[in-house]
Amino acid sequence: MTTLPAIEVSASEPAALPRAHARDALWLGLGVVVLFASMLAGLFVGAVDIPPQDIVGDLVSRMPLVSMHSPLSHVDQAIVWQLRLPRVVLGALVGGMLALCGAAYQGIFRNPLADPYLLGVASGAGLGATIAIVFAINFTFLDFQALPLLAFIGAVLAVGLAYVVGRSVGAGRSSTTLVLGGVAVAAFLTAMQTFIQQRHTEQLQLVYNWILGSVATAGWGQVTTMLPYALLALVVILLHGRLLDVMGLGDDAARTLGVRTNRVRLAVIGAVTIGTAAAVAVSGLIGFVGLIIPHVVRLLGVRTHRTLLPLSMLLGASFLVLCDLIARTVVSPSELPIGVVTAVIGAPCFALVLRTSRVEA
Amino acid sequence: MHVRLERVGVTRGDRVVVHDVSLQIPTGAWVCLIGPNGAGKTTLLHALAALIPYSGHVALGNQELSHMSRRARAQQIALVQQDARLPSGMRVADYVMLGRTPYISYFGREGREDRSVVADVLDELDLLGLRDRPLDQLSGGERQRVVVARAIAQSPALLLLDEPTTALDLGRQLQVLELIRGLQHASNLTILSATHDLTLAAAYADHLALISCGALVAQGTPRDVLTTATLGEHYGVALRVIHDDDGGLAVIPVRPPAAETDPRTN
Repeated sequence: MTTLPAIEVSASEPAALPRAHARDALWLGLGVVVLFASMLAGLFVGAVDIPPQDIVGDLVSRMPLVSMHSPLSHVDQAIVWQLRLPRVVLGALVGGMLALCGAAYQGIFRNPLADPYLLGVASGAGLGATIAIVFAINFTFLDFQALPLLAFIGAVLAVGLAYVVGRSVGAGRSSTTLVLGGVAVAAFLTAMQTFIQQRHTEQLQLVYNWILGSVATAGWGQVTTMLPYALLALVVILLHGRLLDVMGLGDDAARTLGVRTNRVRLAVIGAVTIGTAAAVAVSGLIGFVGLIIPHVVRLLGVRTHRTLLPLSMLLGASFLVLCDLIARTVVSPSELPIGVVTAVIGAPCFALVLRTSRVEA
Repeated sequence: MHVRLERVGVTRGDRVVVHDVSLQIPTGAWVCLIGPNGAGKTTLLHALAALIPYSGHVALGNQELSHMSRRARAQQIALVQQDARLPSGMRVADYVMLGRTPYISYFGREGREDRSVVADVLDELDLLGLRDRPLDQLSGGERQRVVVARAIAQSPALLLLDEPTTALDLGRQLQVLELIRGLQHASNLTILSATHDLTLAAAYADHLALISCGALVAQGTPRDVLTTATLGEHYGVALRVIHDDDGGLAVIPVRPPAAETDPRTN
């Protein structure tokens, strides 16, 4: 396998692949359009009324070789480019990452109830964030604030612990022991977090706000914090698309096809952990996206991970951008926690999708 | 591909599951492992598929199995499992394409040759019409054909079949076995299968190998192995072997004498 296969689709191309592949490509194109539309909506709508055409006008005025005065005041410009846009981008990043990671976990664990928090990311991040908030730890390490850094470290350590516990049980061959290891670690860390929280009830509100999640930003800081980890996770997970299909055959069958199943699982778990931990560190514990979006994509008839993964990401990103739009507008000028919106909007929508589709699984 | 097993053994914990099995499978031959439940048939197949460690030697042609890389092994040996897992909703052609995995690099995609192999396999197994069908919408016979197709897409020299027809009705059993026999002759495939069905084993296999309690206790042509005395000894029940004029052979269970059964249950 040293030579790269030439990309050529000629008339003599064997008719081996399902016609569904063309439809998969169509879905991906549609996903891009939906995401673009959602992000535009997120940019145009907000607590302060700024006419969309003025935002477009401002954009045009910033182009090279265009001499035109921006129709926006400096304050409005700051609102659009320093508040709304980073917030929309962060929402897309977080939503896309959670849905992508959820799809990867559902594949690697062959478990439809898996979500990105399966191996203890949430409890670890929760403990880290609680420690940061309660003990008012405040420092910056390189570019990182204390809270996201501790949440990130907590999340990664929790999964590492779950992996060690899970692998040490039994033959270490089954993914079930990993999941059970995750359950044990999550219970333990959540108990510790609850304990710390109960001893410091005065900061309860702050901890609670963090847990409910938010993609509110004060600029591009969170986006640039998360971006490198998100990109790393994205690349690694997407590269494993075909292997996730192979893993769907079961470990034994995958191994008779020459696949090192434990290595694939470790790589995917590592990537999901980095990506989810980064998302959680900047946005808190937003539920539902990682669990439900991959199922919505499957209900569209997409079953190979090569399409399932990127489409989950696109729709997850769109979904969270729209949920955030709702979270910051329905009770404006105050805001709803985004985790509440994802569940309140998402659950009935999902039930509706389930009802109207012919589900065989 | 000539396959030679030499004193192959498998232990699980401190229990010996397969003990000193030595067996030769000539190129292009079909050898069928028979034996009671728990005799070690599946274990032996799994050892050859490198799913579990074994002792002794296995040679594929002039290569030692344990010296081959995973990928090289997967290009030579395909296993049809007893309960193959069919990912829900996946389409037939995508599923069969997974059989090309040993030929595709870790992060690679399937190439032109892989697509043409899959097209040929689908054609050969009469699955072209089903290539767009989701796996969970297949009948039992179709499912088994698709699982065999995935194994054949691996272009193996040795095909391992674990109870390939257990869940099928008699007609479908014959269809699948005929299909496998066709593949055996078309591409000089060497086959090692395991089954409970002694009559079908006798009808299709060139040689039978009877395994009992992990040991190879008899091998040879169906006529040599399937005798009333041998079967009675290793299955622990009374059986009668009937030969018909065309060389066919049937194994018929004999009910224990009436005196041993409780008359009230009749």
